[in-house]
This record gives sequence, structure tokens and C-alpha cells, in this order.
Amino acid sequence: MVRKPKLPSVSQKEATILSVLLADPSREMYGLQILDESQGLLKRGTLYVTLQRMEEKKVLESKQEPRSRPEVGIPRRVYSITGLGALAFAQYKETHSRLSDLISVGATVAAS
Amino acid sequence: MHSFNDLENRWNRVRDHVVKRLDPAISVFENKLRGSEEVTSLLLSQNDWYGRDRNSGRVASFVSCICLLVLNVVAIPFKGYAPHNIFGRFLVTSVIPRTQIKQAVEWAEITSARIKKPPGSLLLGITDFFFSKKTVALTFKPLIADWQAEYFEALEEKRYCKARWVSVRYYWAFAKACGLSKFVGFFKTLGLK
Repeated sequence: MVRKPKLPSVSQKEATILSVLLADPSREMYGLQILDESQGLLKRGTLYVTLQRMEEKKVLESKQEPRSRPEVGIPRRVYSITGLGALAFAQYKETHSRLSDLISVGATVAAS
Repeated sequence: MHSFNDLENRWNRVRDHVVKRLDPAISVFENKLRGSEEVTSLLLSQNDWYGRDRNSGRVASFVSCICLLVLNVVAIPFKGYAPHNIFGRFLVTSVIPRTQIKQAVEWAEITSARIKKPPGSLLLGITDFFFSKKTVALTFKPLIADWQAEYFEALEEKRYCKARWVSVRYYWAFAKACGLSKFVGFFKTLGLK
């Protein structure tokens, strides 16, 4: 029997980031773009710590933006989703929908 | 009764004394203005500095110019109406002080570019001390890079209040990220993720 590889667990915040990145998986995004597209679900103070944690879990990968000419300031970092990230997000969604089904069943049972 | 020569000698002594006192003051203000212009252009040619107009800079330069004017006016009788510096020459060639003030304002506007390090540069130095290289590279550098990008975007649009507001928000975000990083680090040392 072939055992499935264990996927990393994903928190709600991480799932939000993954969903933003999965909107266009080929696109690389800056932290600020992820923040803008999360529609207020993410905050600046927690975003970067979460991104680091996700990178350590290997659900994301990042690299420094290439610069063609010298500019003022530190070069920004661009993030993209990995295959493992997509799988982890799919698992999160599945678990989430199963849980919400169970809760709704429980609620109807309790009501009756 | 003092003779005419005595009076002349006395007057010369007084004049030398005053000129000796005034010259350094004039050169301080002149060097301040010239120096700020040179330093500005030098630093702006480097990539990790930027220049921006600030009202406080304009006011400071204007005050310097006014001080220079006043000193020159005071210096005129003691220098035989031939002051040695630019403002002095202007004072001699044109009598109306308003022209001088206009010149001073123009000069103040030229030298009003304040040079600063981009926001977050100091904080990044502090995090280097308190956090690991990895945390700095993956958490704080991207945060500060986005801060600088958003800040400069606001400056380009000449929205100075927005730029300040961006800085306030990022200072708060930075503080939160510091706290959170330490918190996460603590749980990591306990073996929890």
C-alpha cells in the first residue's frame, strides 16, 4: 500500500494567502500585492511572519526581485505558490467543507 | 583732546575687532548653505539616499539666508562698503533689501532638499542585532522593502501626508512583526509549530 505523503497543515491566514496566489498560479506577487488582494483579511504586521512560516513549510517560494537599474531602497521579495502549497490548500478546502457539512448536519439535528 | 590720528587708530582697532568677530559668523552661514548644497548633490548621487522637499528645510535655509543678510548689513560699515561674499556684493550693487530677500528665498528653495536615509534603514540595523539572519531576510527585509516602495510611491505623487501615514502604519506593523517573531521563535524552541 502506497502511503500518501503528509501534507503540511495550513491555518486560515495561510489559506487566505494561498487562495490569493492560486488565483493566478503563474504570477509572482509582492507582499503588498497579496495584502491588497486579500480584501482586508490580512494585516501588515502578521503577513510577513506568516509568509516566512509558509516558506519554511515549503508551501511557498520566494526570491528577490531582479533589478535592471539601481534604485533607492531594499529590493522587494516576490512570492509564488509551490505544488505542495496547492495540494495543502486543496486539503484545507476539503477539510473545511467537510467540517461545515458536519456542523450544518449537527445544527439541523439539534433543531429537530 | 584726541588728535585726528588717534581717533582714526581707535576706529581701525574697533573695525578690526568687529570684522574679526563677524567673519567667522558669516563664513559659518555661507559654508552651511554651500555645504548643504554640495552634500545634497553628493549624497543624492548615491543610491541609498534620497532627497525630498520639506518645509522645515526650507524654513531653516531661509533663516540661514536672513542671518547672512543681517550679518552683511552689520558688516558693511566696518568693511568700507566692500563686503567680500556673494550677499555682501548683492547688497552693495542693489540697495533694495526686498531683492535680497527674493534671492535668499530662491537660494533657500535650492538648498531645501533634505537628504535622508529611506525609512526603516535604522530599524533594519536594529533587527540585525536581535534576530537571526534568516528572520531578517525573510520577514523584516520584505516588510521594509514594501514599506519603502509604498512610501516612495506616495512621495512621487507628492502626497506627503500619505507618506507619513504609510510610515506610521509600517512602524506599527514592524513592532507587531517583532513581537510575533519572538513569540513564534519561543514556540519553535519548545518544539511546537
